[in-house]
Amino acid sequence: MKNSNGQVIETHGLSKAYKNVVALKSLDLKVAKHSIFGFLGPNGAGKTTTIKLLLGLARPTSGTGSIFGDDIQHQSVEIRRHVGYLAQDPRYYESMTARETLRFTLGFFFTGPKNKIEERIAETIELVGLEDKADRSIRGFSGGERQRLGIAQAQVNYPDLLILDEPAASLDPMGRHDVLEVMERLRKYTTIFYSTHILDDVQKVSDTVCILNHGELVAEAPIQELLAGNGKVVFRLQTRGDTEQIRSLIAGQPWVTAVQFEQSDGRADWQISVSDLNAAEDQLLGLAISVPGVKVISFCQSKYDLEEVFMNLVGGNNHGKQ
Amino acid sequence: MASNNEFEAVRNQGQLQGFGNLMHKENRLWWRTSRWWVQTLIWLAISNGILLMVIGVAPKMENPPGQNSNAQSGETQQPLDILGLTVFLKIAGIATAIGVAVLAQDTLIGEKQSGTAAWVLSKPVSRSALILSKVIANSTGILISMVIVPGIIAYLIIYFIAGKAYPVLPYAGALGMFFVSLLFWLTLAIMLSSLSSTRGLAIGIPLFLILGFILFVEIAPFTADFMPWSLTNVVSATRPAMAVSLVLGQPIPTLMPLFGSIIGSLVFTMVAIWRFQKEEF
Repeated sequence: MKNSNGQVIETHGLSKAYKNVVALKSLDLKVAKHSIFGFLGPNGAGKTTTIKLLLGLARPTSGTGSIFGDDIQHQSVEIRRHVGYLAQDPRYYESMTARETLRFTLGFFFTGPKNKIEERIAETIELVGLEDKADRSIRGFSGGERQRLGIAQAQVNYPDLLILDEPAASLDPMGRHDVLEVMERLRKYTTIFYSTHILDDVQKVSDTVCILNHGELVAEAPIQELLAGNGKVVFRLQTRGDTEQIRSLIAGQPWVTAVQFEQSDGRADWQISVSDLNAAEDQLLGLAISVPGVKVISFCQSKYDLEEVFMNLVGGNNHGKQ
Repeated sequence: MASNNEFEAVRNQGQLQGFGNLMHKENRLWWRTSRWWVQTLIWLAISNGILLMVIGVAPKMENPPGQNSNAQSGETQQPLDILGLTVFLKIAGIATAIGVAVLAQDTLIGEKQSGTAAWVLSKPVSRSALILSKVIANSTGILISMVIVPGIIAYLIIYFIAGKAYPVLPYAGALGMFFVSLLFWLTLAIMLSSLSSTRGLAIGIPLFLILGFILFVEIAPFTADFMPWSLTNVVSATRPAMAVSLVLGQPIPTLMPLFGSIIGSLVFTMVAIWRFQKEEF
């Protein structure tokens, strides 16, 4: 594997238009070695287009990209020597069995020794739980079995980079769990770049997330940073008692940027946005407690879940629209 | 997890990267599925079946015992062996060519539409290797199942029914010409499949050219110089079927159609490679 400054994937202004439709707009991306990089976005956001550009299956309209330092347009075959790829809707030769498919796949990377090749195939089949289907024609495989085979063929050569397009989309909850487990297990050996719209999966395994919408990058950050609210610090407070006194006291602090609350059943749920995390941590709870007749039921820093972040960034009313 | 150090890596083969593996797969599709015997049976039934009908059954029906139709009608008929050879190569030149065009369009369009081409090209494979593997493996399959096997059976039918054993080398040369004509249609259909994903176009154009040769020769006689029509068919009074002439030891007016077909096949293959390099998935 070539030295590429710790970055496995790098793109600069990568764009793709099909006739009059812009599928990807000036994407700048950096994927670090050994990361699990979640590539998020609604349908039609440009995720699959990006993957196809990276693999040389489509040509960029403008911009550049590299994988392991090799140019995605001119050194595509060399790049694919180090990459395993699972397509969104994986298709294989129906007349082949799963074992033959893996043998065929491995044949593009290695020539022998034969016993080692067969060992690797058997090990990979076991990894994805297809032992009892290994010698049956793919023609009769279910969607989930095809997906498992897809993961097997993507990683049978132990690639330095695994590119997975919606790897868990057609799997049942158990299958999804297995796929995430496999990804976790492979993390120390390889870099995983995967697209998905299943936010729960991203939150479980990714360490960096990129969100794409209408072909544009709308966010890219380590998952923890993104879950912390995209830079905004918000505290949640639940109180009982006089709300007006608390509101005026808290809103008067120089480090408080916004105060919102909702009342129900005699309780008030507060969302307090602050500009200074330390000041808020030191003083906010004390201020609330200091108000006579007010009881604090709970107090915590707000953590977004990914769905909330995603919906904030992408918006709920334009899903899939170009 | 073990490492890849225990394996011998496939070396860099440039424009032929992945060719060996793809050839293995394409050959497997021919020889380790039902395709080879299905194709062989089809062309045995069509080419040799019609030959058998024409020289084995039809003369007996036309000439019931005790009658001599030739004598009655005064017609001059071709000797049975020449009739057989002509019919076999004519059927071969038209029916088998149609079969090749139908088979060939699916080899690439089928893969483009099903998504297997995109899958294969996500591996370290050059696009030229993919096209070449299809041309070479299908050529081999066609050569054996549509040319050699039916050709040998036709030889035996003519020998046993018409009592004529043609010299082997000229006969092999005639089969070679037959194969060149099929190679032309194969590469044409593959080229059209690379230019378009419309099956109708990839089948329609070869069919139009195969079936409409008389029309083309009427309108533009020069087309017979570089098209494969006259390799196996009588195109005009001055253009006998070259393969028949070769077997019978008769003079061949020109070798242009043979060279034209070979050059055409090479050009079609190169265009297919060039176009497939630009294909997006």
